[in-house]
Amino acid sequence: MTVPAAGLVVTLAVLLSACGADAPGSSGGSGPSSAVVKGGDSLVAQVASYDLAAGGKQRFIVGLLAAKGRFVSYGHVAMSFSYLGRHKQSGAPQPGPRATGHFLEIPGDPNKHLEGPVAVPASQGRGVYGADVSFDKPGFWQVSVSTALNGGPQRATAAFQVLAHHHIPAIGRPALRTKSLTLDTPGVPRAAIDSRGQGGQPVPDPELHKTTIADSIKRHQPALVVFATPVYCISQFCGPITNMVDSLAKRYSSKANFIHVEIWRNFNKRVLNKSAADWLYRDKDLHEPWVFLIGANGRIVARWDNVATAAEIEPYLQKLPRMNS
Amino acid sequence: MTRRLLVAVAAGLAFAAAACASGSAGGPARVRSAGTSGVSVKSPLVAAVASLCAAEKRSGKDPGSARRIFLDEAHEDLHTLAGRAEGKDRQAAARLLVAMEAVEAGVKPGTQPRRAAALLGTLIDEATGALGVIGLKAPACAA
Repeated sequence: MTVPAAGLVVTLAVLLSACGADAPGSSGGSGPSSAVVKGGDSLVAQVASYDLAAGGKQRFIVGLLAAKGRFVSYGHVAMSFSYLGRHKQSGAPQPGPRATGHFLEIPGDPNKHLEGPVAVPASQGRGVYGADVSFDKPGFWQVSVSTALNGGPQRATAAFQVLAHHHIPAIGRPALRTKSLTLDTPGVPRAAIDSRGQGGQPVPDPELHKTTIADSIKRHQPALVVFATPVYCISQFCGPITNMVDSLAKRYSSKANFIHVEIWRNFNKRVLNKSAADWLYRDKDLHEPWVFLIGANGRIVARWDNVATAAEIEPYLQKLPRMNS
Repeated sequence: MTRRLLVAVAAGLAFAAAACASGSAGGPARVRSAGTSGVSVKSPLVAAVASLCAAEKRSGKDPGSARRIFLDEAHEDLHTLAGRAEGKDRQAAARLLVAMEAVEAGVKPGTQPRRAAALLGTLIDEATGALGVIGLKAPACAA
């Protein structure tokens, strides 16, 4: 699928990595719901969730950035939500649910595991705060994030959109039986299988490109599928999250198939891989990374948007029985 | 105002505010800490390339330290640079992102210094090119 020149935003930088009017941004739809900022001092909040919808509990994630580009990391924060209005803020915010947000650490560099929350440079810990939250109606909502930082209380708020229905395949829904590319797919450039596999470089995680989503479902086997473009990701997290899924593949290959779907068939020509488009391209927009766990029955068991961690995924994998090969 | 427009506005506000907080706007005319580079530059995107120069110098003795400089002082702004360059020269942005990924994957504690320096050198070249695409000049170390 070829995407229009101005239509596609592959991933919104989660933690405010973009800036200014020239930065890529969301055009709505299912995408990152994001965010207006009113920070005490210089604390900045940005909702990092994609595809929030009214209904039952779902994963809500928000990133916090302190002055000088430091990430607020570790520990936990208090979240309080309020409803702003169906289409825009109409009157006083209506109080909504409250939650405790726990730190979800971006996989990758050895992190310091400091007492938190604390503002640290990227090399000492990056991540978001997550909680399971339910929103009772669609519209515009606001989260107020409170934490103790630098010896005093700080707060930041961010607005976000809650859809009436999920736009991206949701938990409990049938997985799309797409024929994602594998290393054996004929006539496909390596970079379309994994954007890191270009310029003569090997695909770094061949175990993630052995089977298609369709074939895994056909065999009634569970699959953990990561949609990400490690090279062309606008956020900072696609590569580390793909690597995290690869590390899980090495430990749990007897329990599920592990599949990486590269987003781009051809980045320079703006051509998406069909499987990525079928799953994620909505309203001329695509946001990644995403990780989906597909059950042996072909339905989506769990999904993680944007920032996925092994700590969240492993409990699901541990519960799976060994596959019959 | 349509929902789409409203969200777009909200997102724009978010980014603008983020830039204010982090001091990482791509445009000119804001001074920020020179970081490890020791070079005082006004655009954070130019400063990011100056930090790459510092990382390259450090890589000869300590690739781990070079990685920290890359992550803490350049990575975020290079993503911004790629985003800005993409609208004018998609291939230049692609080359920059490829070079960034190579550094992120290949410059670590234990990496051979020569290899680390080569990866950082390529990244400096591509970042310099991307700066040119958006009308900014790279710092002297990258010339």
